[in-house]
Order: sequence, then C-alpha cells, then structure tokens
Amino acid sequence: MRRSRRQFLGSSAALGASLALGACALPRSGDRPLDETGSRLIVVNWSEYIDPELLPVIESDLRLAVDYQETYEDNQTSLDTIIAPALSAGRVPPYDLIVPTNWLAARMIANGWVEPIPLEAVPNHVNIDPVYLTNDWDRGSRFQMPWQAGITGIAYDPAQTNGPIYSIGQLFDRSLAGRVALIGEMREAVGFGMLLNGDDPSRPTPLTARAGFDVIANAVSQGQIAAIVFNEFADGLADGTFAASMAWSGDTVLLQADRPDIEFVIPDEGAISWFDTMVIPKRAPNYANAAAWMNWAYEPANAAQITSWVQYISPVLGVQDELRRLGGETAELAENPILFPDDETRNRLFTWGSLDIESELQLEDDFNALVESMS
Amino acid sequence: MTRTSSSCVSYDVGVTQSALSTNRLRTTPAILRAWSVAITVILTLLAIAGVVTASQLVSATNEIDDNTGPVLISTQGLVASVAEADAANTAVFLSGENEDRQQRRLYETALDRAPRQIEDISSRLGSDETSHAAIKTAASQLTVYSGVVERARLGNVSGIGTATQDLQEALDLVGGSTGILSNVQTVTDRTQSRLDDDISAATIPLVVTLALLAVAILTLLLAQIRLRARTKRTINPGLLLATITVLALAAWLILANVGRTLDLNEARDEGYDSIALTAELQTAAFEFKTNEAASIIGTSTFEGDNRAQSVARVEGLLTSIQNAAGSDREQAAASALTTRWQRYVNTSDVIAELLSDGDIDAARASAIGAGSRDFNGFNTTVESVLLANRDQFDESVDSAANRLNWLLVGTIVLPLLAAAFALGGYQSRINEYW
Repeated sequence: MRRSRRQFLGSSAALGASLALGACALPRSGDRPLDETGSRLIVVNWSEYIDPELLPVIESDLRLAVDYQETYEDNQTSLDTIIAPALSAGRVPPYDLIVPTNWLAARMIANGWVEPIPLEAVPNHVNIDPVYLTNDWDRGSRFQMPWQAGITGIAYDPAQTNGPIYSIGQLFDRSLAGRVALIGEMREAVGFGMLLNGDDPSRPTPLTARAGFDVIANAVSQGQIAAIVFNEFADGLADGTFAASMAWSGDTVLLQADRPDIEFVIPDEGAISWFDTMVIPKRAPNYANAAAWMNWAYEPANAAQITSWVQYISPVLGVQDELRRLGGETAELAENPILFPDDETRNRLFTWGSLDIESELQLEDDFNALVESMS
Repeated sequence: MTRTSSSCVSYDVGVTQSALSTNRLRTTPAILRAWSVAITVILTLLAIAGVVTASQLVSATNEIDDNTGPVLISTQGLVASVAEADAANTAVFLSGENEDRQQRRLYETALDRAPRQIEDISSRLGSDETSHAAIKTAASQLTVYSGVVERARLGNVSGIGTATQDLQEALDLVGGSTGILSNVQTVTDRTQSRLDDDISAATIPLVVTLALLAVAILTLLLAQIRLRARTKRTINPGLLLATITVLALAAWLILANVGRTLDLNEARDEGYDSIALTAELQTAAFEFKTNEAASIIGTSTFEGDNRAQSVARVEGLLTSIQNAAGSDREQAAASALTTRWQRYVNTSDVIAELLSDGDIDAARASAIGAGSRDFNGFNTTVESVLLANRDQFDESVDSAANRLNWLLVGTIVLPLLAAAFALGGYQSRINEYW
C-alpha cells in the first residue's frame, strides 16, 4: 500500500515491462450485460501500487485506454470523498474499479454499492488463494478480488532498541518512550492493542475493541508514542527518528533493500493481516472492462509482475512459481517469508473482523481524535 | 243471475289473469330479463371461482417465495457450514498441541453460522411435523457435536488417548447415516415435495374457473345471437363489451398461469435442481475429506479402490453440473469447481502417498496446510455456486409472482364489469318496449 515506494525499487522494477504478458479473452454475458461498455477503463488505486511500466502493457493486452488514477488516499478519506458521495446517492461513479481495504469493501458490499463479479469474464477468479475465500462478509469472493495483501507487524532498528523485539508489549516499554510509531489505520492500531490484551481482532466485540483502543490511547497520553503515521514509518526508521514502529510488510521489504539491518517481525501475540481488494462499483460505466482488468491481474504471470514491483503478499495462486521462473533477484522474492509466509506464520495473523457499525464508527471517531491530538 | 253472472265473470277474470301472466312471461322484455339474470348468475359464479383460483395461485407462489424456496436454499447453506466446520475442526485436531488458530477461527465462525441457519429453516417449515422433528434432531446433534469437539480438543492438547475416538465420534455425528447431514437431507426431500405441490397448486379451482369462463363466453355469444334474431339484426353493444371483457379475463388467467408454471419450472429445473446437484457434490466431497482425516488419525483406512471410487463419484457429479450449466456464468462456475476440486485431490494424493510410506507427520502437516486450504477453496466455491443458483431460483420465483400481480383484483372486477355491461345491454333493449 500505500505510498512512496518508488525510491526503494532498486533493480526489481526494471524487470516489469520486459517480460511477455499473456492476453486474456473476454467472454460476454451475465446478469449485467457485458457488452454495454466502451473502450475505456478508469481505475482508482492507492499510489504506487503498480509498476507504471505495466500500464501500457495492460492497455495493449486488453485493447483498452486505461485511465489509472492514484487518487486513493487512506480509506476514511476515500470513503468520504470519492466512494460515498456517488454510491450512496445512486449516481454513476466516475470510475470503474476501486481498491479499498477489506473492511471498507465489506461495508460497501453490505450497502449494496458493489457489482457482483461476472465469473464468465473472469475465469482467473479460480486463482484466488483460498485463504481469501472464507471471509464471512463475502464467502467465495463473489463481489471482490484481493489486489495485494500485507501484514502489519513490527519493524525496528536493532542498533536503537538494544536488542531484538519479539513482542507488542516491548513497544510500550519505557526504554523506547518517544521513539515508537504506530500505524494510522484504526483497525490495525486497535488490533495491536487487542492482541496485547490477548483478544482476537478477527472477532472483535465492543468491549475488547474498546480495551484495545485504551491501550493505544494510554500509550499516547504517556508520551510513549512519537507519531501515528502511514507509510512514513519507513522514513522514520531509516533516518533514526523511530527506534521501532508498527510496520507494513511491503514497505519494510522495500526499506530493507537500503537498510538490510532493519528487522521485521511478527510479534509473539500475533500480527494484523489485511488486504486491499478490487471492487466494481454499482453502475460503473465500463463494467466489462473492469472485469477484464481483474482477470488480467489474476493471471499468475501478470500477478508476478505486480508483486515484483510492489513487494506485498500476492493473493494469486502460482505467483511464487512464476517469480522463481523469472530467476535473478526476482526469484529471491519467492523465498522471502514476508511475501510468502509459511503456515506457522499464517497461524499468527489476524484479519480485522466485523464489529457492529455503531461501535466501529465510534472507534473511528475516537481514533481520529487521538491522531489529531498528536499533530 | 247476478251470482251466476258474477261467478261467470269471476271465472273469466281468473282465466284471463293466468293467461296474461303466462303471456307476460313470454313477452320479449320478460325473456330478456331472464337472460340477463342467468348471465349475471354465471358471471358471479365466475368471479367467485376466479377469486378462489387467483388466491390459491398467489398463495402457493408466495409460499415458494417466502418459505419453500428459502428452506431449500438454507438447507444447502447449512450443509456447507457444517462441512466447513468439520473440515476445519479436523485440521485443528491434526495440528495437535500447537493448535492451528486460523482453522479454529474458521471452525468457530462456521459453527456460529449453523444455528442461525437452523433457526431460519425451522421458522419456515410450517406444519410439517416430520421436517420439524428432523431439524430439531439436527440442532441437538449440533450441540452434542460441539461438545464432543471440545472434548476431543482438550484430549488432543493434553495427549489423552481417547481424543482420536472423540474426533471419530464427531465425524460420525456429522456424516453418519443418522447424522446431521442425514437429518438435513430429510428436510430437503420433504420440502422438495412441497415445492412440487406448490408449483401444481390450484388445479381444481383453475379447471372450474376455465369451465365457467367457457360457459360464460358461450352464453354471451348465444345471448347475442338470440337478441340479434329478435331485433333489427344489430349487435347489442353491452353484450359485446361483456363478451370482450370475459375473453380478456380468460386470456389474462391463462397467460398468467402458463407463465407462472413456466417460471416455477425454470426455478426448479435451472435453479433448484442445480442447487441440489451442487449440494450432493458438497456432501460427496465432504465424505472424501472425512475419510481422509480418519485415515490420518488411524481410525480407518482410505486407499485403493475405495478412495478411487470416492474420487470418481465427485468427478461424476462435477460432470453432471458442467452438463447442466446453461448460462456462460454457470459454465464458468462449474469450471471453477472442477479446478478447485482437482487442486484438492492433487494435495490429497500427496497425503495418501505419505500415509502409504508411513510418514504420518508429513501427512498431517500437508493435511493441515495445503489440504485444508485447498478444501476450503473448493468448499467456498461450491457455496458461491449455490448462491448463484439461489439468485437464479429467486429471479424465476419473483418473475412468477409478478405474473400474478393484479390477477386477484381482475378476477373480481372483470366478471362484475361484464355483468354490468350485459345488464346494461339488455336494459337498453328492454327500454325499447316502453
């Protein structure tokens, strides 16, 4: 996710456009007619979430003019500015495909703001990793297809922490006071608090979520937390502002290209897993083209191109083999445990579950107030 | 004389009045009135029969929409939940002391879902005591099952030897011949029978109504012919309008009923039969997975012809689903099912090979990791195919219900309107005699 990754790219980005990419067929039919579409496709995604050199390849493969907009800010801002205004009013949205994080996608689906995926146009739907098919809010992934997934764990500079970090509790140790950063996504930060309390963020209750929030709020009030940030945690670790931080796995992998001494760990208590996911909004002007994009992204060879650049966890089966096949530095990614966590690691990951909407909105408000209090 | 005369006069008056009376009945206005009364009676009877027919058609269609259909679909959802819970629980068990939390979460969420589905089914079964008893048994078995699972879990973590037997008991509670899935099947079978009854509902009232429609049309035509013969050979506009109105009602009723039957047959053939076939596939796949788990924990073997037959059974069902798939979307879903199943079987082949080599630990590891993931991939794909079939079922039932919109009102209003037209037509003719 999320931003400012280009400076960390190194050699892997250059591989992007040089590889042959398979074309995909576009069958026609379904609930919503697939032939009611033009030759355009408007995609709204987080910034720097695809190799820019892939875009002309996609245009060529799909024979489409792709208007790729990196205007997706954080989830809350995007919900307020580009998602809710059009979709809640039942208007035609000014885009065909958008990539919210899992919890927001769940909310959009519940609100009826999302088109079902036309399976006949997306045969590569079968390549979704089964771990993404069992979400209660969209079993079988009928309305969304994950774009990239990540882990929010802990990254730290061992030289500054004077030893390894293996627990969330250590972030709140006074020895690190004022040198710890938290991630500004409420569900991830509160999820960390819940894990510290021994609660399960994948099955939050108003009580356990509130207790998780209190952990964070107390740490802020005691001056333990230096900042609540997004991808800026990487800059802070790189320049020594932070000794340790909640960290997104993909940004950390990229950071490690420049700073191999920075460590990334899944704490003993567990870590938060999340995924950003492609949805076609209701009344999208180019429904079939959005489906074609999804199908393209789920071709393992294409997905491997995306992974080699963004370096997040791919939700597409077969990517690891494709990366190995590519050889060189790209093949090394196939062995990276952050990109391809083993079963033991997966067992310690928790994806934020469903909380009643009132409690969730209240938590969002309180968390936003907390973030503002730090700025 | 006077008396005689009086008597004579009296006699004459009596004869004259009787003759007059008979003559009055034979007068054209009287005959016209008699016809108008007869036509009114026929059209009133038609209205009554029509209302009964329309009410029964609407009621049976609503029953499918509100109860029979949702029950059939919920039963398959329940099968999916129980299958997922048990597959996840088996994976948790196989993971031993270091419990697989992902699978445990899957187990718990699936087990949370199942009672809600049972409640939904139970609330829609109406007065079918057998189905109520079966779902009640399934509900209590589910409670027992969760208890046995916890006992097995505790034994497994503590290394108690009976844990394996407990797991086998849990597996039998789900898939055994009198287990949860068997009881759910009872509900499914009985509800399917109710669906057939609902589709063919209102046959007798419909036949009566159609017969009355025919009688009404013939009577109106005959009345028109007779009236025309007695008058200046002009067509009576009131009777003409009445005839047209009754013909319109006949056309409406026939079209609505034929359309409804076609829609409901489509719901059954394209929607529900696919649902049933997919659910059968799910059960067969689940049995395969259960047998595999039992072979890993050592309570039974699952190899050779026995295993090959199980694979062949699932593959046969996959072929049937592929063949039954009508639309491009169904074809795509059937193809996805085949791919997901093949992935699971490939992993299962590895597990079987490891078992035959005696490498139990590696077989367990494979079953917990790739095996569980691939089975969940297959299971959730089955579920999304079920949901797609449900959408198709719902659409067809909705279409059937839409065809009956206003029919109830039409069956009352149109015959009465026709009667009014007929009475008006006769009255205008009668008025010509005054």
